[in-house]
Amino acid sequence: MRFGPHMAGLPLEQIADKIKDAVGDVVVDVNEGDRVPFLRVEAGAVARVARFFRDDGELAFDFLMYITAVDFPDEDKLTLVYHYFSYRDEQSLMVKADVPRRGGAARSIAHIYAAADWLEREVYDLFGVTFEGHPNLTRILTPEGFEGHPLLKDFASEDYVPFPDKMPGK
Amino acid sequence: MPTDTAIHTQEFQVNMGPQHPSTHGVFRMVLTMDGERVVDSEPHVGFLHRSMEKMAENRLYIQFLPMADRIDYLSSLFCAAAHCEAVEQLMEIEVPPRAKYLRTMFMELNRIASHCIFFGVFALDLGAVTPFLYGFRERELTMDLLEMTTGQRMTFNYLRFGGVAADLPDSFFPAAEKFLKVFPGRITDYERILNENEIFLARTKGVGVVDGARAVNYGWSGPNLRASGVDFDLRRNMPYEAYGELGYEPVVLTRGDCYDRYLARILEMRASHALIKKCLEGLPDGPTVKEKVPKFPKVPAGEVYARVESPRGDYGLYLVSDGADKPYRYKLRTPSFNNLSMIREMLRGVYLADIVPIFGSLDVILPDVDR
Repeated sequence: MRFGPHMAGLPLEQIADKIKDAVGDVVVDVNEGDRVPFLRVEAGAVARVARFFRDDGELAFDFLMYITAVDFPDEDKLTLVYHYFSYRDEQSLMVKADVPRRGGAARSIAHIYAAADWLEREVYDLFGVTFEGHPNLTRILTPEGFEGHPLLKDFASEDYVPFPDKMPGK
Repeated sequence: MPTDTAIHTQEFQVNMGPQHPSTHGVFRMVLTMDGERVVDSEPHVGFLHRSMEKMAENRLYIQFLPMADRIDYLSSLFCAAAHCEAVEQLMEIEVPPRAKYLRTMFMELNRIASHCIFFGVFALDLGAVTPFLYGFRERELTMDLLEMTTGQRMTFNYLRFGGVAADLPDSFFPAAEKFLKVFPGRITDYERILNENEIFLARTKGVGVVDGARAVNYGWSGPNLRASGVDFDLRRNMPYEAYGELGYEPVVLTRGDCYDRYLARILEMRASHALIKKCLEGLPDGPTVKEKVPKFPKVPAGEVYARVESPRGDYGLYLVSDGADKPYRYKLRTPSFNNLSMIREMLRGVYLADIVPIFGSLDVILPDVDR
């Protein structure tokens, strides 16, 4: 597979329109961003958008680079970020979706993009977002028996004691 | 598989524990075996989770810079480069040309060092003990060059926002000439030892074949992906630093087995050598760091994704800043995490003896996986 230098990708507005036609009225915001363009969609639609991205012939977003979340405690939300890349068009696009900070959930896309298997486990582990339909949603980075979700802004890492019953002086 | 129905067989589980010489770090796999064949495997990562992302949220950008080196300590300049590039993009700092060339040259030296380790350790895993120290001998040459300039052998703390920390000392040029003259012959030695060795070929050819499209779906990148036929390299397709001026043709192979993943890295060492030569010959004069860059920068609010082509693949940093002097969200997109996630699928149905070449050919490094 040879990827030509800087073949054109579709402009952001057109991608948003295509999503509207194929998936429904789920795009909340279209933003060129300062450096990486992003679309904000409803949390319930991330899986349908992912399937559309993978299967639509015009788009060819075949590379899911990462899934992550950004915690905004002041606005009481977590923003899920899915960063896609197209090898054919060399186009980068983020899809963002807001979920509540406690008990946030989204549908898993592990069956669409195999990379999402471990990526979603990491977001679950570090932020507490559940992914419905994930084949094995267990903690991946933190040790067994860990409680809490460390990358949330209110996780008090100063108070965290690893293996408290094994600490000396108990 | 022919089975004698009179004999009762049973699957059993073998723990390829976190302490194992071939897992290149602390990585645990629980293998369900049917005799010599792997039925299923359950990888456990996270033994080396150091919460780099959380620590970055509590440190100034300049404070985290030496820690960025330690995210993937075998390719530390690349991790630091992503950190610097992200900050430089958000603050719109232009790196002077000499600094770009120096960064490029040392990154390629770092790539050679990392691939030398891969070469030595991959052969060692398969039982060939000799190439291990040959690889380390060549690595010493690169580390000497790096130590002359940065003072460090492994985690260099060499990059600064807007350039590099120090210029080349006078002793660098004769040492670099010697390295450039000697190194291609050494790579030929490596190829002579392993490339046509019967045992090596039997253990790596046709083993762990990965289809390009499936690899892309798993988020693979780097030499692993290029060995499966996907022709993409950030240094050519989306050039950064001095790669645009120097030009680079990536190494792409077609079969996608362990042998091709090994060969891709050997050929990449040759390509890096050519790049270093071009860098030295075309090194522009000028300052090594942009003037008047604040030491404790307050990065303007915004978000950026900075990508570099590290020896393991597509290393990226998603930085979200809210205008403070500490990052708001520091997401590390590490290539080994995605590369390793395919291990379960790759190991289904292989022999026990194939696990080590498959895992070794991925060139995964656990601090990169766990951060």
